[in-house]
Amino acid sequence: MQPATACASSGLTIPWLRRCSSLRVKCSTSQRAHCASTSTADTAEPIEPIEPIDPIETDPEPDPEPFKLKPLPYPFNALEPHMSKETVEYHWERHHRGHVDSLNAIIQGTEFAEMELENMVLTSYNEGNPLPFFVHASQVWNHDFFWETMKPGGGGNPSNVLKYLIERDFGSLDELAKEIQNAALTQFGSGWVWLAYKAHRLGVGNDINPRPSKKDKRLVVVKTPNAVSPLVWDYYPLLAIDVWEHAYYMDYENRRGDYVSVFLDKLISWDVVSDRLKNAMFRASKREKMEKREMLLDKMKEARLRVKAVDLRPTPKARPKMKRRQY
Amino acid sequence: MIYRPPLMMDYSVAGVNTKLSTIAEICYTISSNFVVTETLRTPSSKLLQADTPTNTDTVEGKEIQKKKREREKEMVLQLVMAPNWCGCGVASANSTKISTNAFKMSSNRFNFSKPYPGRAYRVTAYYSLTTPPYELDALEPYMSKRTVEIHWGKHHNEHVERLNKHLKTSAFYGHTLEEMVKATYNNGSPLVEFNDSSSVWSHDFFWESMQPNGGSMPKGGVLDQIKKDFGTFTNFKDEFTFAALSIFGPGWVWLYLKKNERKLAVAPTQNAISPLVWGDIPIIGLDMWEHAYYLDYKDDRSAYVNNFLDHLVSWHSVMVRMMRAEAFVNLGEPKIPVA
Repeated sequence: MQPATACASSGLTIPWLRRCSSLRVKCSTSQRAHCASTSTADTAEPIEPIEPIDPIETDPEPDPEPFKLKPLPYPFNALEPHMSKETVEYHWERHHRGHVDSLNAIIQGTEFAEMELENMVLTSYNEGNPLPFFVHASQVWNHDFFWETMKPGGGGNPSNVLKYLIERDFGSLDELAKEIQNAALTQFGSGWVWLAYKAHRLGVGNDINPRPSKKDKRLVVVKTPNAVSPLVWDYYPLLAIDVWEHAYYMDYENRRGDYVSVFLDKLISWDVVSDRLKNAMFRASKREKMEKREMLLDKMKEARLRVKAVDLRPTPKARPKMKRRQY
Repeated sequence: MIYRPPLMMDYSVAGVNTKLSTIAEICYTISSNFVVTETLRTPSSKLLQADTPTNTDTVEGKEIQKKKREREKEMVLQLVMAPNWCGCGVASANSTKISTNAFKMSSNRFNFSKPYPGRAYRVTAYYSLTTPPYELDALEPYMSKRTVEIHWGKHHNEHVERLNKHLKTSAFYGHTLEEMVKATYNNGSPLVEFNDSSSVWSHDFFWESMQPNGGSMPKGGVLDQIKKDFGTFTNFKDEFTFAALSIFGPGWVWLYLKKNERKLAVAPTQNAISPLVWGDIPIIGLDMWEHAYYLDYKDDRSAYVNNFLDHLVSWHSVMVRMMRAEAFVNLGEPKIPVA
C-alpha cells in the first residue's frame, strides 16, 4: 500500500488519494468538502513531499534534421543497364540530398518542422503562390515517390484492378504508354509525368462534385512543371517519371522518349503502382463517405434552424357532415 | 540574328556528305534563310486544262508519266541561295554545298529556271540551323565537344525543326525571329510558337556569346559601362553568378541593356524567356538548362558559370552588340576632348 498522499490544493493528507505519477489528481467537490471538514492531524504518517514540478518547461532543442534522406530501396547499380549507377548515385546523392538539406535549413525551428511531408507540400503550395521551401519539400516527396516506383527487373504488365482501370480509361497498356510518352515529350523544360487517380472532386477545398461525370474516379496522365505534383490538385499519384534532364542525360542524352519507354518497359514496378491505386481508391471512397455524411449533417442542422415551432400533428381532414338518412 | 558579328566569317566546316551520319560531317550554310521554290498549280490554270492527262495504260504512256514526274521533282528540288546578311546577291565565299538525300543546291546561281512557263511560283522560306562561329571542339576543356555536338546538333536542331513545323501553318510565318519572339510571348500568355522561336533565338545568341580563348577582361567602353552600372567588374561577375545559381529548373541568365533605364543589368529567366520580351537588348546569354552543363560538370553549376565568365565569354561579341545597342539607346554624350 502506498502511503497516503497529500492533496495538492489543500495540503491535507487524504487516505484514499494514492500517488499516481502520471495523473494529476483532481479532487471532486465531495472530497473537497471532506477535506474542509477534517483536520490536518488525521494520520500520524509523515506526508511525503510532492515532487516539485518545474513551472517553466524548456523547449527541447530543435532537431537539426527534421527530414532525413530516405535510403534507396535497392543498391545504386541495381537498375543497370537501363539507368546507370552513376545517374542513380548523382541523382540521389546530389540532387535529392540537396533538396533535403535545403528543406531542413529553411524549416528548422519553424512550425513546419513537425508537419508530415505530404502536408507540408500542400501547405507550402499555398494555392499557387508557393512559399520559398515548396520546391524543396515537393522535390523530396517526388523523388521518394520516384525511387519507389522503380525496381530492379521491373516492367511486365499490370494486373487486377489496375489493369482493368487502364483498359477502361485508356484502352490498353500501349495507349497508356503512348499518352505518357506524349506528355513527357511535350513537357517543355523540366518536370514530371504522372499517372494519377482522379477522384470525385472539383479541386478546391470542400468540393464534392454534385454532378458526377465520366471525368471522375478515373486514371489520368498529367504532366507538371519543375517541382509541382498532382497532390496539389487533389489527385492521388500512382506513378512518377522524372523528366528533369539530370535524370536521363548521362544515359540517354537528349532522347527523352527512349528513356520513358525504357522506364515503362524495364524499370517500373507495377506492384507498387497497384498498391498505391488500392490505397488511393480506399482513401477516396472513405473521404467521400465522410464528406457526404458531413454534408448531410450540415443540411440537417440548417433544416433544424429554419424550422419554427410548428404543430406537426396531422390536422383532421375536413369532411362533409354525413347526412342522416331519412328513413 | 539581324546582326552577325564579324567573327562569323571565320567559320567553315568542310565536308560534303550524302548521308546525315554524324553531326561533325554535316555542313550548314551561314545564312539563316534558304529558299525553297514550290510550284503552285492553280486548278483554274488554263495550262492545266490544256495538259492532256497521259494514258498510263500503255508502256509509252507510263514512260511519259515517269518523265513528267522526274521533271517535277527536279523543279521542286531546286534551291536558290538567298541573299546573305550583307545584302549582296552573291553567295558568300565560305558557302558550302549541302547535299542531302532530299536537296541539291546549286551554289552561286541566282537565276532559277521556270520549266513550265506561265505557271505561278510561290517562294517560301523557313529557318535553318545556324552554325557556331568556331569548331565544335574549340571550346575544350571548358565545354566538351560532345556537349556542343549534342546541344547544338540535337537540342538546337530540334527547336529549329519544331519551329519550322509550326511555321508551316502559323500566322507568324514571315516574321523575323526577334519579332516572332516578342509577338508570341503575348505579354505573358505565350502562344505555341514562343518556346521554339525563343529557344532558337537564344541558342543562336548563346553560341555567338562564346569564343575559344574567351573570358578575361573586357576592354575600353564595355569595361567602363560595366563599371558604371555594377561598380566593379568583380561585382558584375558575382551578380551574374548569383543570378545563374538562383534559377530553379531550366532557364537562362542574361546581361542585358535596359532601354528605359539606359543601363546594363543582370537577370535570370525561366525556360526560354529572354530580355527581348521585355523590350530590352540582350548582351550576353548563358544557357542554364541542365543539358548545357550536365555532361561536363554534372551538378556543379558554379564551376560551369565561372568557367564561362573566365574562359568562354566573347567580349568581342559583347562589344559589337553594345555598338549596335547604342543605335537604339542613348548611353550618354561622348567625351570630346576640348583642344
